Amino acid sequence: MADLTFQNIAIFGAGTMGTAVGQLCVLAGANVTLCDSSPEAIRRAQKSIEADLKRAVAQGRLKDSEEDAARSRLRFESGLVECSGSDLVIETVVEKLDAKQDLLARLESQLGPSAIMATGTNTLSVTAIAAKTRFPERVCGLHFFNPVESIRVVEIVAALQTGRETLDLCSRFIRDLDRQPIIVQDSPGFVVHRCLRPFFAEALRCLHEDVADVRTIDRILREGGGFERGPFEQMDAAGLDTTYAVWRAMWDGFFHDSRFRPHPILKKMIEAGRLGRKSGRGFYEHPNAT
Amino acid sequence: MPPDVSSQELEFYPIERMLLVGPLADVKPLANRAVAAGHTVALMIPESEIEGAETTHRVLAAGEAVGEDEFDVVLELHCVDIEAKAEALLYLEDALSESVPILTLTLSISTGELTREMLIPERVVGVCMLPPFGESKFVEIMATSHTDRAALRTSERLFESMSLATTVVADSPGGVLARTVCCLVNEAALALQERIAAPEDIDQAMRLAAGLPHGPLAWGDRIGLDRALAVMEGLYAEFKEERYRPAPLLKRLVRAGHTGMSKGQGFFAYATIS
Repeated sequence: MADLTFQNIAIFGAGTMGTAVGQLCVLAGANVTLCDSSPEAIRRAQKSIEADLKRAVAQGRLKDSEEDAARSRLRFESGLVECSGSDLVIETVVEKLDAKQDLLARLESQLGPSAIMATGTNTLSVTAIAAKTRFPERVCGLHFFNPVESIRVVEIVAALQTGRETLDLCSRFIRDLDRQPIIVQDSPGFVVHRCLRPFFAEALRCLHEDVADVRTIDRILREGGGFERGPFEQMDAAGLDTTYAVWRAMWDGFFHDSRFRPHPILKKMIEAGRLGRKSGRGFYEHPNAT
Repeated sequence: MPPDVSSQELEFYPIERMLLVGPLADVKPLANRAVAAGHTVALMIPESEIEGAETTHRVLAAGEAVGEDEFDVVLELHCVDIEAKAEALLYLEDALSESVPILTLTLSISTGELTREMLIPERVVGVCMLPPFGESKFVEIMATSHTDRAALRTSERLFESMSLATTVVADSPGGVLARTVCCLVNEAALALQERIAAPEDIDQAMRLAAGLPHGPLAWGDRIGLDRALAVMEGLYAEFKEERYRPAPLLKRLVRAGHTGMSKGQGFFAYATIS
């Protein structure tokens, strides 16, 4: 595990994404500090990671000694905004431009001259986030996909200001995590969310035009197209509100280009509280969901 | 109880002798699958393709005279050349007896639009599958308000006999699958043209993060970029919406003859089999 690109990593924002990324980094051998302003979020993150490590040991994927070592490399901090000594900072706080800009500006002054700052945004402009820092060439986006532990690709987002060296270091870092780095330019939806849009949009339009029903559309795309999951199954799994938020951001980002117009069916479903698996009902019923 | 003769009649549709009409590259893979399923086939291909057509199947030139009861069912597969398609349908309507169902590919145009000029639209069924047809697994079957049940049932039986899953959907160009996949190809072409990422990276990200069986660019190359473009143009013509505007890069490649894997060059270069 020697020679990691970044040995000391601080992650700000202990939501689902920050927690999963922290766990991945710690298992790759890095020292990780996971920070969140909410003590409750930190408690949940700690519980989640510890349970995952225990499960990995029970299933023989991790040795006892490795679990101990991983735990010794992991620190949790609530309330504190402190990252001195970090080689890499990743922010995964709330998707609000000024919150991310303010955080990075505060962190930057504590960092050494070679440290990198990354934003985990999936809807905002990385260029706009970088613009409020003093050394924007050392800022980029790191877009992990949910679930982090099973999706083996990460988009590295190059803002207009991002330096070549930052991209090279981050590519190496993503390989350290046993993930495939994909360098993408800062553009709404980057590559994956953007190029996947027709998968959802055309399915919803086919439904709206009464070409076929939800089940039939999913079946055609799964059995006929070889997609892992149908579009409605996938929206139910991701959460309709999450899908809609990403979609809205692309719609705004591309100045209302009709290709990115969110579908009214989705909005109506959200208004009814049908958010997919997490609410027990979306395009399908999910009776056992909590 | 005596057997219900009328429903028995409805369940019997001859599908033994098939006529496949269209460009050789489109009809050949389906002809192979039909023969493997025990059908007898004849191919009706453009005059220009007759010479040097390497096939063991019986070959006819477009418009050549045939006996009106020589075939049980026709599968017409033009997609890129809509004029040739319209011509073929008018010819088939005239040449074959009224009882022969005509199945027409609706990748780039709806069944209703195709049958507007036809005298007996009852026998026409729209069928939509994703190229390359040698690998298609699923057929979306479309009826117009004229299409009769027997013709619809015949097409279901025919494709089931060839181990293709079927489902009936409303008449719409590109159906569900080809419409969705070609829009994915088009969006990836736009992202590539804007240099958002390298072509290999776009494909890899989409396979690993989005669960696609092929990257969208490589998928376009397999489908054939001329066909993918025809699907986009068909959607654009049907809905008159900007969202279906074909990517300029897609058009450029097609105009250059770089239509994908079969030509050795599309979004990617392929070693050509000589």
